Amino acid sequence: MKKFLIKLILFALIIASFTTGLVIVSDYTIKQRKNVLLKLSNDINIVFAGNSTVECSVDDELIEQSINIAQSGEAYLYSYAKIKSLIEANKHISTVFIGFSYGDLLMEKEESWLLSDEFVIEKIQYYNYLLDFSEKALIFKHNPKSYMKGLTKSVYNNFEACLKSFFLEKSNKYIVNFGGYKYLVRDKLQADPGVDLYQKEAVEKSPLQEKYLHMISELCRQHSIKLVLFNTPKHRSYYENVDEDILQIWYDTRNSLDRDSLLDLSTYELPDSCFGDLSHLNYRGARSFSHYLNEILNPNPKEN
Amino acid sequence: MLFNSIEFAVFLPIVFLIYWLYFKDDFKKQNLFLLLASYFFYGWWDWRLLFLLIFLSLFNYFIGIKIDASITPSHRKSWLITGLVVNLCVLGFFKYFNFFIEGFVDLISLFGYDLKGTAINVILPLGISFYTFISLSYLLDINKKKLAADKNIIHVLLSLSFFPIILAGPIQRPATLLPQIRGPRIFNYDQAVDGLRQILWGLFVKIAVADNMAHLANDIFLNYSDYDGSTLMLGALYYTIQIYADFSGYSHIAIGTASLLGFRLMKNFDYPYFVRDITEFWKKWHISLTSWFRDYLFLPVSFAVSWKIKKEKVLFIRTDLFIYIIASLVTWFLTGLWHGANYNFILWGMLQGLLLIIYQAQKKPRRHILKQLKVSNNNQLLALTEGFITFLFIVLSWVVFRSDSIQMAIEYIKGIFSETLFHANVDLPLKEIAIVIIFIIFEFFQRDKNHALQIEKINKVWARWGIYIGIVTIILLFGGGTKEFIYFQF
Repeated sequence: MKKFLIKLILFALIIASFTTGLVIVSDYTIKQRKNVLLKLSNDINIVFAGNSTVECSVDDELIEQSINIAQSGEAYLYSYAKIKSLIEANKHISTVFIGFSYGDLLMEKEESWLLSDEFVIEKIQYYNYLLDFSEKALIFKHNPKSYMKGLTKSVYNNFEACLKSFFLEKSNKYIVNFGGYKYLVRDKLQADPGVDLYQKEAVEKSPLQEKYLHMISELCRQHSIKLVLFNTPKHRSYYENVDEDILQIWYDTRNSLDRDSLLDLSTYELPDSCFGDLSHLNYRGARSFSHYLNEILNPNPKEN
Repeated sequence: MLFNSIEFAVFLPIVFLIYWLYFKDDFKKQNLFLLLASYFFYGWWDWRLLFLLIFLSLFNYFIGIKIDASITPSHRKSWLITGLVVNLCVLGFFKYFNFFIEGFVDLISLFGYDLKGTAINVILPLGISFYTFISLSYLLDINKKKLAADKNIIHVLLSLSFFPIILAGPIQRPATLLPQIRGPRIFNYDQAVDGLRQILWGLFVKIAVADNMAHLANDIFLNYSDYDGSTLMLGALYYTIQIYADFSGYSHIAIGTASLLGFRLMKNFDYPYFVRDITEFWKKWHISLTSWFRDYLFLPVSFAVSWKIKKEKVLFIRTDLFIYIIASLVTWFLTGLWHGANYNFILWGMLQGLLLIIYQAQKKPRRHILKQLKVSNNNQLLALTEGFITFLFIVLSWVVFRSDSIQMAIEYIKGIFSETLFHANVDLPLKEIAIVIIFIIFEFFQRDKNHALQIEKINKVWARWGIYIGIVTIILLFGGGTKEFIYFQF
């Protein structure tokens, strides 16, 4: 029994040391390569960030001088960390579009996107190296188990990203494990339960979502970057039925950020076939919408 | 409490230490402690449903004594029937009530009556199918005098609620567990180490293989209408690996945990995908369930039918084959239903039964044809071809099993066999495939062992420890995140 316990403890210690070592080394390695990883070509000066609504709407291949770094279920805390790191590595960035859809400021988003097991693991494994101590502490405090899981999973992603950074082409609109345009094939408008889903319970504003959106605003101001709050196209049956309380939260937040611009294209008309569901464009919608965006952002396209 | 959770990682060492250090000299106290630990383990999920488990265990304890003590066969039979009816009614109510009520509502609606909203939602107690079957085998074995009813209430309650097996098996019959409970257990270093290895292998198989496959399979099954044939085929393959890894992983952890506590549990999986035909598959897949159905349903039904038929042929079919058909259809209908209250499970069960019948029917003509062609049954090409066809059938039948409805299963399979089946427009998940390859290599080369991590013959300690550390590293770095075991829903 004694022999068994001693060996078991020894094994646990070896595993703990080995894993800790791997986490530290991988974190150190990716931080060393961070500037190379996040370096964009000099002609890219527009950044689209946010959650899946932006991820699926903006095909950055169709919009000149832009990069889409949005990702599904991305809380503003991660958008803040990504934008901050990207700005540090790319002084030429002039404009940041941040997703600002109706439900983004709700408490349920904080609970799921920021603090739920699934999303903590999912995000920490890719973005831990971008976070400051205070952000890491915040997530760890709320969900230590998932944070640790995400941290162990970050080892592979960190090494993979470092390795890939040696093969990246500078002109490429691509950053390893950093989000990007999602070519959404689905066509499930009819299957979407609709806005009733959000009307069942009393709505509550998320303090953390709001705080980090303000921090993004402040960050952009400090770097003299134009921030645009960006509401992507929604289906008519969605935007016509948004709950009043949700709308009020959205207006209040927008008013508190009155120094930043708002580009509200939620009512941009598109046929039903362009929607993956009520709040997301599919690839057809993204193609049409991105051409439109390109015309707005680059009214005088370069001559070939 | 999930085996792959932090809670269990804390629970098991505490139980292990108290069990072996504090109660090591008194197996009666060990049993009582294990019973309390089992109830704690079960009640962690929902303490209210713990009362159901305790009630059923107590009920079966008393019924067991009554059956054993019955002097006349009629008394014996009536106590047995009481026991079976109550157990099956409880299972039926919790597991199938909603299913039958919905079916009834649908039927009534055909005649223009709307009864929607009248059904109540019944919670499915975790592991109810497993502990009911353990209880049934206890009563049936006493009735057949294979087992004497144990008067010690702790023994019986523990055999019906032992925490490693309570949620998802193996369906360890009390006839084999009670003798181990009745006597003292002595700590055996080799058994404990083997138990740990089996737990480690189970965790690897569940967390690194099944959970990663789940992520891929779920995406495809949820959006199956968006994908082409080749992706749908891949989705079916992912699920084939997932369900095996998920359930065999659970069984390994259960068996390994019991080993740590000095118990020996039956093997539940015996590398079932490395088989040549469907009968072989079912001898190696979920052995504790298939052997349960064989012993308590298939064989009794076969005997009952054979007693009634005195002719050589029935409906132009050989009598032995006819009996096999009847017994198979009944058994596989109920096996499908056991898995869940849904039509697709019944269809899945019937498909298995049908293939087993076809296999049985072709045995004689096959032998004749092989003889005519002068091809040996041991021909490797033949074995590989048959193995491939069997595997393909298994993969497709898992589509039926995984689908939400029969309609979905049909559309999914139609999607596979569309003109896009060989369109290789698929991004292969290399990391996950590498893990699966490691898994298959271990399983293939260790297929004569109880589990793939029985590597005690590797003499070098550093090599063994290197493998353990490698596996733990894969689990930690590449694990697919905590997900419930598939078989918990059954």
